[in-house]
Amino acid sequence: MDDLTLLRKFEPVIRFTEGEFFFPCAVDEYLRGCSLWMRDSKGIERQILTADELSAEALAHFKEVPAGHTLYLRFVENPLDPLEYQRWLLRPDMPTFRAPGRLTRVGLLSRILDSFFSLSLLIRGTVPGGTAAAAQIKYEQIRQRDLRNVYYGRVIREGGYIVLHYLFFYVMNNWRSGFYGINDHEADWEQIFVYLSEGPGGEPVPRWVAFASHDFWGDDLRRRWDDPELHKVDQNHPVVYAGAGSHASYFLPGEYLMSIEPAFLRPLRNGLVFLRKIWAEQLKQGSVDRVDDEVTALLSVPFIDYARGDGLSLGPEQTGGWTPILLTESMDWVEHYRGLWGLDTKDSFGGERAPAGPKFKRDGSVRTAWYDPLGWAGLDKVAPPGQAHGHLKQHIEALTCERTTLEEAIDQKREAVRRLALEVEALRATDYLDHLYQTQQEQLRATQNELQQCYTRYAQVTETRLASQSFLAKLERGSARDDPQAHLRHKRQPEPPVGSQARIAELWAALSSGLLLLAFTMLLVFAPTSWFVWTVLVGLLFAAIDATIRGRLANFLLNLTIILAVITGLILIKDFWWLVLIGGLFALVILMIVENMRELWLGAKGG
Amino acid sequence: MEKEVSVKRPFGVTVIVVLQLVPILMLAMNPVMALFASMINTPSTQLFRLAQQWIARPYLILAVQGGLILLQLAIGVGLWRLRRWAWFLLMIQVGVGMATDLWLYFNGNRLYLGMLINVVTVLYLNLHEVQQAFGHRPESPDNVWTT
Repeated sequence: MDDLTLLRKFEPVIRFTEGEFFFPCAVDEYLRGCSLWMRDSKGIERQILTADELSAEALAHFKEVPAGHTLYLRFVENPLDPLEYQRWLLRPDMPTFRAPGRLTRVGLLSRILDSFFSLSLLIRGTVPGGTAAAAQIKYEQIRQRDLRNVYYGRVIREGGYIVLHYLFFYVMNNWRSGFYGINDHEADWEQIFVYLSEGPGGEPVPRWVAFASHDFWGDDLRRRWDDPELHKVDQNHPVVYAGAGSHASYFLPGEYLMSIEPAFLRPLRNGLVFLRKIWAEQLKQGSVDRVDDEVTALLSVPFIDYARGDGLSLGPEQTGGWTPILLTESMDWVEHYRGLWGLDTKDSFGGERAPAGPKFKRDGSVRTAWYDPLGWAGLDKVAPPGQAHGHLKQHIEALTCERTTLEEAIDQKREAVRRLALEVEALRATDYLDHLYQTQQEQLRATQNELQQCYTRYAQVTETRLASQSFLAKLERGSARDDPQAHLRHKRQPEPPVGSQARIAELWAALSSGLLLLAFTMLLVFAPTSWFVWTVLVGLLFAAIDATIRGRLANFLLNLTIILAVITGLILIKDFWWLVLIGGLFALVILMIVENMRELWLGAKGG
Repeated sequence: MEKEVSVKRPFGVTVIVVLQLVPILMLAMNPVMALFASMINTPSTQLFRLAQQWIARPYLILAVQGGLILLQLAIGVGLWRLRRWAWFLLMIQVGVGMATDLWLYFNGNRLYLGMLINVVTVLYLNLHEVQQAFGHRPESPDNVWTT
């Protein structure tokens, strides 16, 4: 089967969220609408090619740039001004998108961090306001010239697998400006993989699917073809639920909570995790589960990726079908252009910078997923089903050989040890051969060690051989790999729906962090005598209201009690440290005496 | 039908239940002691002032103290039967006690013994084994703040 036929046979279905603006398209028309720019090491930017001059072929000529220089494209040169933007927002064909409860899903502290994140956009390099709207207008013009829904594909044969690599190009990621997400950037490359291997009749059979996903890598990226959470159309086409604006890929439809952990809070987080672990594991207090997750959730900025799958659906038997384009090594724009595919905002966090091409990372190096698609999804260690059986049989044979060799080695070493032991015994009886005695004793020790190592390895080989034989039997019965998700360490699940209190909770979530900061500012302005007490009271009042609205008042009260206990405990230790010290020493003395007396008593009984 | 699994009551819980009886007895003794104080008529004592309060607002005080006795009794019985709601109510009760103690502490009135008993009670009730005895289950992923 040729590459294009293979790609077509297992091409995915992508289901978008209602309100999505941008869909996978060909790069040609996009490039015709872009200009090419270069920024030098001093930060001076100059245009290299105008929109009229730029094409995929022209782009391929820019293979190298001097050190410290950056090449990038610009799709939108003139973002909409505020008035145009408002007109664009109010146009009659504006897609509707409703997003209840991003902030209602997280606590007050996370919402305050969210406010600071929004403020950080003022000082970071970001995509200018009105860019996504202007990009949408240009995208509509592109769609009038080129109606194709395009994926780019390549086929790699490696390690017993046939890897189908599907790449999707979007002219813009408008997650932040369109869907309350983390970032916006011009151009967006997304990818998914289908891994095939030969079936019993020699035909290619799908085994695994991997989707690129935020924060995940290795084994967690892939799902087995028979995983019930992998939706399929017509048994051959995996379904991808694309995040609104972000275009990130998900296996299940729903709303996914993403968190950004600010780097400056990492030391605080590590400290809290450490204290929480001592609290839970050493002092055996509360719950020991998910300490890391709890603290991370507390100190993270929350975002929702809406992958509802209730909008346009592209792929076989869907509203729109695909036009595949096979990527080959002769496509120079893929192979040679290492610059960015959209505006370079110089954002120090990177999120608002456009990505590089399908093959490269922003720093110009080749993407792992491009040169090692098996390793990228943790599949380099997994033999294809047809080959696992043979690999295991060979391994068992090798273990059997090693076992026989070890048995022989053990016999020889045992003989040697016994001979040496006799020699040492004989030499010990003679006073004037002391030097030889020492040497032979050393030799005896070394040979004994070798014998013990042989035994240890023998035990390991025997156990491994038995386990392998048992696993081989299971493979032969077909029951070895029952759980399709056994390889997953982390699994991303959609968030549960927002509860019945959503409207009040949303209003509170929108107002609370601002009101709390206002209350603290008022305290600073009026500076009451007991300012500390007031600050604590205001904080507690807001936290209590927040907990009540989110239906977690009981938890809040329990946590408050525990915090009070810790504070009271620390006060007691401060006021009575000398008593604590003396009491501790006294307890240690008693413990030592009791232990010694017990040993004495048991010894007397035994003797 | 789900079968109820019998759980051994931790010794510390028995001690706490016994300690719960002390305030109940004290509250129950209040009217008797107030009556006694009014009979011996010694206005300088605290008991005499209590007696006067009883005489001035007997129903209000009876209702408040009766309510408190009932609450303490309910918590005691619930703890004895290892009920989760009793564990929760006791934690809240101790929390209120600690908040009061801290307020008094920072105002110069240091009730160290009460503070110590409260801290020990909270830390004991929050132990894994004790929580499990009261039927505590691992939290849902949403309740990220619960200890």
